[in-house]
This record gives sequence, structure tokens and C-alpha cells, in this order.
Amino acid sequence: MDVRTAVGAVELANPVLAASGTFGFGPEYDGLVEVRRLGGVAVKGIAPEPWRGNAPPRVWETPSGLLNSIGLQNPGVEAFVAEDLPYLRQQGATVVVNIIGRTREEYAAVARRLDREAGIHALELNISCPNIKEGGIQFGHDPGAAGAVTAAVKGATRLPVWVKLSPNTHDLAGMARAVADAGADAISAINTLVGMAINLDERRPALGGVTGGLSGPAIRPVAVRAVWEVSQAVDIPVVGIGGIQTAADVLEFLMAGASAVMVGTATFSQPGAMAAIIEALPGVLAHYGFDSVAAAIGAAHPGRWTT
Amino acid sequence: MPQFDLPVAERRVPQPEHVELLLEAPALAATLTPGQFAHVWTPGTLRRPISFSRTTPEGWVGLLFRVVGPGTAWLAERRAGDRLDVLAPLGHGFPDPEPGPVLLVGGGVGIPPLFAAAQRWGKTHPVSVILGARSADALVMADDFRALGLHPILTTDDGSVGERGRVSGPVAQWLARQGGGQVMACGPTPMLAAVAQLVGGGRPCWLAYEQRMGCGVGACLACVVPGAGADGRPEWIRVCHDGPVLSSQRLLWPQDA
Ligand SMILES: Cc1cc2nc3c(=O)[nH]c(=O)nc-3n(C[C@H](O)[C@H](O)[C@H](O)COP(=O)(O)OP(=O)(O)OC[C@H]3O[C@@H](n4cnc5c(N)ncnc54)[C@H](O)[C@@H]3O)c2cc1C
Ligand SMILES: Cc1cc2nc3c(=O)[nH]c(=O)nc-3n(C[C@H](O)[C@H](O)[C@H](O)COP(=O)(O)O)c2cc1C
Ligand code: FES
Repeated sequence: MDVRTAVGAVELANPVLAASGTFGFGPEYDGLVEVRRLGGVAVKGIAPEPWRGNAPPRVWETPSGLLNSIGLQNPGVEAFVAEDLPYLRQQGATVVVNIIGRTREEYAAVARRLDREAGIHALELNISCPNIKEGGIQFGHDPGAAGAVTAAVKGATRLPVWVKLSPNTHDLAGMARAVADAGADAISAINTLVGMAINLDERRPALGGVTGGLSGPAIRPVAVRAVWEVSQAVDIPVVGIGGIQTAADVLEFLMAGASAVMVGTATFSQPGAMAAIIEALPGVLAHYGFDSVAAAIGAAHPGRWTT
Repeated sequence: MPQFDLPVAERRVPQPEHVELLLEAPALAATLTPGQFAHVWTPGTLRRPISFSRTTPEGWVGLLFRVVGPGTAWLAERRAGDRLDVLAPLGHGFPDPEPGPVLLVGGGVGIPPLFAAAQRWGKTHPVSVILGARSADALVMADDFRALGLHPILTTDDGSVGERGRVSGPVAQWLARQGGGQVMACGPTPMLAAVAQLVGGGRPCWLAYEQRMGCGVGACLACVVPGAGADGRPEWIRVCHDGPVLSSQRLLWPQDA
């Protein structure tokens, strides 16, 4: 069974990557997850300078889901390069660096700095995090702004640029076309959905950041629909993200049009989830009559299932 | 930190709504530091953090918890022979105390990790114990401390056992009586803040902290509390990875932050 795949020029041994923000920089899961066995690792969002993030509490469990309002706390690009990147490089991981900024220039500055570093395989622009008031969020709604930030980053690096879209928009296909036209090499979909919970005991919002991003199995159907729509709107590859827990879930995303997937929240409950998915994937593909990952990509698209 | 699939050797009900599960885990028992915790799988999206309450000569480790919601309710249903999926040992526990008197202060379900501390240091140090709870039926492990030859001072909010009131009174008396010594505490955050304030900066004070967690291993940055960095500037401390036991000197309290 051939489980290899590719996201544009980035070749992956298997289609399962760790999702940004849920896997730190890798060593946190030392002893539990072998990063070089994964398709790849998307690290926590990196800004030009350290960001402090939101006040706690930062997580709240919901039915089949999780609300978080970390607020993009990160050590800044220099500390990331000096302290965090060496581990992933030494492990031989396929590394996707998620980048964030308040302005187009900030995104481009991080991309330019990372362009000089060995051991990075792609950049993923988080233009979609619901946890910051400024910056990211407007890029996530406005096709013009999203295209402009994509073009700015493309001009600052030779690395492949993936753009991570927000589901919190009414025109996902329009957003996808805007970033594709601006030169994006791939689209990651989706980031978390904006949500909120109230702590009844304390009579206040459950999260320190008041609203947060919903992840986990609760959002999987929303993510499948996003991948379905985006993969038919553009010609660049799509990385599917949202609520994946099993190899069958991965196959669902592949058939909806994803070339690879990322697993986030599932790792909190089961650190071995990604390894278990990778192990089970060949059997699941065979069970549903596929002889490779490549054969499953977009298999459910119109025109392919009428046979 | 490894992941274990541990059989429940024994289930105890020390008080109503409180359960202690003893897990057969000789390898883990041999390496535990009091104050470290387990991130325990329960149905749903997140694991549940629970401190280790004790180790036993059979190579068992204890998890003692109060039933407060669906996760702890599911755990309370476990029976001897069932298995638990735990990540452990997580975080940093209490450091080895310097020679001299040690005061252990536990509030409610903050008591269990202090019993583990009493097991570890009760024979090497002069240990005093102050335990507090809302009422007699929420006060756990007093007999376990007595079985170690210790004489815990008990306080309850309603006076149903021990002195009526909070732990602060007896803690202040102990501090006044002892010139030096060191303090280890675990309980609700307001209790920890009160203990830290009473102890002041003069003697070591170690607090086992709680915060809502995601991963439990330092990756997601969910479990932060405000602290003071080396240069005195505010920084976030991850309870799961840098704690849960933290020096009171490193923490910023709401009034300082
Ligand atoms: C390091 C650490 C050690 C702990 N040790 C013990 C112990 O020895 N005995 C004990 O009874 N309790 C302990 N707790 C608290 C225990 O984790 C919670 O009571 C438990 O998670 C509640 O889960 P639930 O589903 O029953 O309740 P719910 O309130 O429904 O839980 C909802 C969510 O909030 C989280 N949560 C709720 N209360 C707390 C809390 N106080 N601290 C952190 N997260 C919380 C849960 O983990 C869950 O994600 C500890 C907490 C921490 C952080
Ligand atoms: C705690 C937490 C932190 C996250 N941080 C980031 C981040 O820094 N950048 C980003 O692009 N996405 C971030 N995400 C979103 C995830 O990468 C992913 O898109 C989302 O959680 C959906 O996938 P899941 O359901 O498998 O978790 C975060 C998610 C969680 C739960
Ligand atoms: S719970 Fe994830 S960093 Fe502490």
C-alpha cells in the first residue's frame, strides 16, 4: 500500500501531520510520539517578536470538542530558530512553520528570517486565528487582504507557502481563489470556529479571552465541507484539518479532496493517535478499495462517484 | 514521560463523593516525586489531571479525587481489575526539603499530594500537618497521616470537625512558633495565596498549583499562571510542565499582577 503523498513540491512519507498549536515544537511529546514517523509537524504560530497571549483559563471542554483561547503566545522567531528548530531538524522531521503577524510586513519579516534556515519544508500562514482582535482576523475575512499578505510572503521566501483559512467567513471559495491567485502553494483548511461558553459557578465567560476557537470532532463535518468546496474552487493542493481521530476520518478528508491532513485536538486525549492512524491507514484504504493515498484524493468529487 | 495502562488494584471510598483508586504500578511507584500528577484518560476530549496520593509497599500508586463532573464521575465508577490509561509522572513535584521542620498544609482535594510528601519525608524531617476542608465529610486522609505517627491539626469551615475556620490560623501559629522551617501546600488558589502571604519571603514555601489543562505535557500553553521571570518581568508559567509545584517566590498573585 502506497501511503506517500505530496503537497505541491513537499513530499510526505504519509499524509498525517501534527496541527499547529497542539504539538508545541515537538520535544514536549518526547517518549510518546516519534516525530520522524509523522508525515510532518506544523509548529506553534511564530511572530517576529514574542507574544504574551491571553489570560487563563485558556481551554474549556465542550461536547465532542474543545474551546481554546491561547491567544497565539509564542517566543518570537529568533528564539524559535535558536531554541526550538534544532530539535526538529535533528529528528529529521518534515517541518511546517506556522507564522502569524499583525501586519503584512510582520508576516513577510518572519518568512524572510526563516528563508535562511535549514530544516524547514514549508510555511503555513495563519490568517485565521479567532483568538486575536487585531491582525490575523481581518486577513481571514477579506479576500483582498488575504491575497496581499500571501503575495508579500511569497516575495520574502523561496519556501512553499500554505495559507490556512478560517471557517468563520461566508465566502470560503472566494478566499481560496484570492490566495491561490496571489501565489499560495497550498491551502490548509480549517482553523477553529469561533465559540464561547459560560462558567455557571463563576457567572462569567469560561475563557479568559472570553471567546475561543472550537476544535475537535464537533467541527469535522464543517471541515469536510470546507475541504470539499476549496479543493474544487482552486487547483492547488488542500491540507484537511478538523476533528480527525481515526484513519477512516483521514480517508473522508482525502475523498473530499485533501492531499494530506493535520491532527490536533485528538493528540491531547491520545498522544499516540497520529501513530495509530498511520498504522491503520493502509488497512482502511484497502478496505474501501483504494491501492494508494493518491487514488483516494478527491475520489468523492462530482463526476467521480457516478460510475 | 511514558504512558501506562494500569490495572486498578483497589477502590476505596474515604468520604462521600470521594474515591481513591490504587493502581498497580511498581515501575511508576519507584520514580514518583510527591506533588507529581497523572493525566488520566476519561471519555471526551481532554484527560483529567490528578495528583498522586500515595505509594504502597506492594508497588501501588494512589489517585484520590472528589467527584465534581463527568470525568471524575466516570473515574469513580472504576472497579478493581479495570484499567486506566495514564500519562505519568508529569510535572515537577516538591523538592527535597532542607534539614529542619516542615509544615504540610492541605485543603480539600489538595490534601492527597501532601500525604505523599508525608510518606516521603515524615521520617527524615520533623513534619507538622494542617488540613482544612469545608466540612467533616470533605476532609480526607486524616487517619492516613495518623498511621504515619503524625498528628494533623484539622480545620473545617463549619466546625464539624477540628477547629472552626480556615487553615490560616494554625498556619500563622506554626510560623510564629518555628523560627525557620519550610512550608509545602496544596489546595484552592485563595488558600495558597493566604499561605504564601503568611509565610512571606523569609522561608522556602512550595505550592502545588491547579490550572485547566489541555495536553498536560507542555505543548499547548493552556495551563499558564502568572509568574515573575528571572529579570522580575511577568511571564507565564506552565503548571503542567514547570509546576505543578512552584516556589511562592515565582508566582504573581492577582494583587501583584
Ligand atoms: C495538577 C493538578 C492536580 C490535581 N489533583 C487533584 C486531586 O488529587 N484530586 C482531585 O480531586 N482533583 C485534583 N485536581 C482537580 C481535577 O483535575 C478536577 O477536579 C477534574 O479535572 C474535574 O473533572 P470533571 O470532568 O469531573 O469536572 P468538570 O468540572 O466537568 O471538568 C471540566 C473541565 O475542567 C477541568 N477542571 C475542572 N476543575 C478543575 C480544577 N480544579 N483544576 C484543573 N482543571 C479542572 C477538567 O479537567 C475538564 O477539562 C487536580 C488538578 C490539577 C491541575
Ligand atoms: C490549543 C490549540 C492551539 C492552536 N494554535 C494554533 C496556532 O498557533 N496556529 C494555527 O494556525 N492553528 C492553531 N490551532 C488550530 C489547529 O491547528 C487546528 O486547525 C484546529 O484545532 C482544528 O483541528 P483539530 O480539530 O484536529 O484540533 C490551535 C488549536 C488548538 C486546540
Ligand atoms: S496543559 Fe498543555 S501546556 Fe500545560
